[in-house]
Amino acid sequence: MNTKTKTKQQITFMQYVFLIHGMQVGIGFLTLPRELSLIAGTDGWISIIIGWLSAVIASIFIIQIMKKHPDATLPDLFKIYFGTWIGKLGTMFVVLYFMSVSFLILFSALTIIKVWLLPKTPLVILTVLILIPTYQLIRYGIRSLGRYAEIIFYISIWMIVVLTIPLNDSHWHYLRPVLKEGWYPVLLGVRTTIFSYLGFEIAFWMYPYLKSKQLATRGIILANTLTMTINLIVTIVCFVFFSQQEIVKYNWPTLSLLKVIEPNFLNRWDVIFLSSYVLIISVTWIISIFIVIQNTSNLIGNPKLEPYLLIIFIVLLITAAAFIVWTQSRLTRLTDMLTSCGLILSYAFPVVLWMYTTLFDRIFPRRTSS
Amino acid sequence: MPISNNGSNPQGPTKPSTTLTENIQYAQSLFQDSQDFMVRQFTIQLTGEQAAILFLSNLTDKNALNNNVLYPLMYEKSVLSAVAISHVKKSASWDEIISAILLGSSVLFIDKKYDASILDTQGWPQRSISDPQLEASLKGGHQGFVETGSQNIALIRRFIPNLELKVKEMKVGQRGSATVTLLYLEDVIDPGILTELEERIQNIQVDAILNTGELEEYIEDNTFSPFPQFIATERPDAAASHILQGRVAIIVDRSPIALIGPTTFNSFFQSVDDYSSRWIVSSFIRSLRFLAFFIAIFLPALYIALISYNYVIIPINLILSIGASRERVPFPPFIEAILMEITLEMLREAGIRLPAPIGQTVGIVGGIVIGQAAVQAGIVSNIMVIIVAATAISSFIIPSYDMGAAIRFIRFPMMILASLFGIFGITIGFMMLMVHLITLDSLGTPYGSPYSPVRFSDWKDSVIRLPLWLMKKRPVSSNPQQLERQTPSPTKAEKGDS
Repeated sequence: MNTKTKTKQQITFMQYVFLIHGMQVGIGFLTLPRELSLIAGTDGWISIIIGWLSAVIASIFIIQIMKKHPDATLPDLFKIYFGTWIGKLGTMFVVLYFMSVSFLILFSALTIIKVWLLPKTPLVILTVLILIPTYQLIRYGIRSLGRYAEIIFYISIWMIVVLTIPLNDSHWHYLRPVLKEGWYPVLLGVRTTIFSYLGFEIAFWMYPYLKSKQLATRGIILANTLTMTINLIVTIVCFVFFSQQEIVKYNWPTLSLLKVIEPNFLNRWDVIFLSSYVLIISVTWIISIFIVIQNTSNLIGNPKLEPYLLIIFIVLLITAAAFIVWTQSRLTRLTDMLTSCGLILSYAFPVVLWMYTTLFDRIFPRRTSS
Repeated sequence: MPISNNGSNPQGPTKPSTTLTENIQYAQSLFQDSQDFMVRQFTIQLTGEQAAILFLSNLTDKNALNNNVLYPLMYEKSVLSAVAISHVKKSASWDEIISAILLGSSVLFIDKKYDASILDTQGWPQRSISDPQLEASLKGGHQGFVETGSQNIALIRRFIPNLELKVKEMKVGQRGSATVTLLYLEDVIDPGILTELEERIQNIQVDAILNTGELEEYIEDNTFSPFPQFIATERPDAAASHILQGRVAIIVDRSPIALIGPTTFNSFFQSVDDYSSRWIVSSFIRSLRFLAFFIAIFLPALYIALISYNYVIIPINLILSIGASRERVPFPPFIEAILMEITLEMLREAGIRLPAPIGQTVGIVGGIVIGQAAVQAGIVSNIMVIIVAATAISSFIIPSYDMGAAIRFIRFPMMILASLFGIFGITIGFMMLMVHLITLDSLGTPYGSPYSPVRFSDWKDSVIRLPLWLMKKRPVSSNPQQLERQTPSPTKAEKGDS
């Protein structure tokens, strides 16, 4: 056989960046302007920058942990530091978390599609349809995931350009005065914005595949910065286009923004924008499903089962689409729950784990130096 | 029981005997009922030995046999070693002798000697080298591959007179054993790819390979893909250009097409003329081809989706004129589009195999029926005719026939998706197409390169073609050992150092 197929699958630096960035840009970017505006008013954009700072700090902790065992993913680390059984329990929580994330992202996206594009089509048909390419991709492993995230980023750049078109009718004075209500609302807004950076925790799984590991920290910071830039552009455009009273009226202000753009060859941008948006958001649920499959096979301890696990999970998703009514309020409740879990997993957990592992390595230097 | 390569009796003797008559009788028993099998017995003038020459009359160059073998031996007191044939081989195995006769060589038996001489007197009906039919070129050469493998190799060697150009032969097929030749630059090609390819060719278990396309199907990575995974070219200059980029050319004897691998999606959009015309102009043409790729796949689907679901996208003036032209059409857009696209495909297929004079008739009839009459009869709308025409033209711009065919096929599932789910269906279709191209491999190298994985260094020769002096390096997609292109190839000693 070819020597290349024998070696472990690897991802390039840029693929690593786009995988993390792709995981971060999800539903958030449709709803973020509204939520920020509700909490922090027009100063919300400052919260985004503060959120970025905390995301970067947490990311650096993750890479510091991963550096200790370059070939191990999070479940392997659990095993090394907490023993088999507690490790399995931890992995189980992680599986549950990413399972819920994939449910949430998939059904939120499909709900938006259903509302805006295909109101009469049953959700389960849309689910089956969208899971075909998902299955096609995950079957081929991390390498194709990396390529996918990369190409999706490049073919979606135009969307950001389109989003800046409404700046022609912008009202920059909406932003002034800066910090009109002081720092307090801005800091409150940070809680919302750090949710929009969730996703960098997949570095726990992506790091072992990265080809040039010395660039891992730089990569994760780049990914966070890309996400910040996009969130910042979207939020500021929304803020200077809509007034504060107007913006809270829309569920997805980013999409409502597009209704305004009317070039003479197209009547409505939003339909095209939304269909392409499916591509961007697909990266999120594809990575989540991939991590679920990987961790489950790690739990069972048999990587050969991965194809079957994938099919089982996809059937599960289809069943969920068929028998559960995914109303907006249910999705919101799930979002709230996952926000808290995500905050713990991505922000608090890396710091704690880093301190624990450092201490552990000091006390038992031999046990972990395998 | 192992099947013998040439069908000779496995129970018979494996070696010729020393008696001439016995050998002749045995050979004749093997070639029973083959009227073209000839035996010519004679006496060698110089030594007086009895001899016989065995050959298949239609596969042998009789001029060479008569003038260079028989005449000198019979009348000019010549010895066998002085026979004026370029390639003479001694053999003492019936298997080898029979194979040689079947391939057109003649075999000389001499009484009291058990080894026979195989004389290279092959000569079969051949076509002279002519213009490539499928890949016409404006400024390129006018020599295309022919059906004789050795001539094709010669055509490629003329372009690359270099010691590193290796010509490796393999046999494929049990009954109609075909010679498969791999041509590559040893100091450039990735050895992993080469061994992978050789292994795949050796693993083929088949009666006979009649055409390059059959070989392709046995050695490609994914048989369930509509996309070609090897370039099939009939141009020696194209083959040479790919070999220089670090790829392998596979030549199958008896087939006028060379296969090139490993390939990328990108290389199906390149043509030889791109490099011989102005780079600005050919960049423009390249980008047209990529645009055509999308038009040919998505335009009919987009029409269906916009008319039946997402008409809000179309500006009001346009939708009024489309509405006016569709007023009399009784079918939904999907039926209308399928009807027209299928008619077009049939017309194209009908045109291919018809002799030129009738072909024109088909074109005229088809053109009038599809265009004018169908619209006037109210079966299809004017807009639909325009869309079908645009799709057809777009799919024919693609230089590779195989890629064009793949595109024409993919259009139909896309139309079905669009008719069921509108724009969202097209998005799903696009996603599937993209995922397929991302995950596809050609000989273990990524097919989507340089777009996925993104390799900016290879973009110089992709949607645009930059000036040649900027392309100092070979494309990374074929993973060459030697990346520098415009430097003289290093000597063996230098290679040892690196």
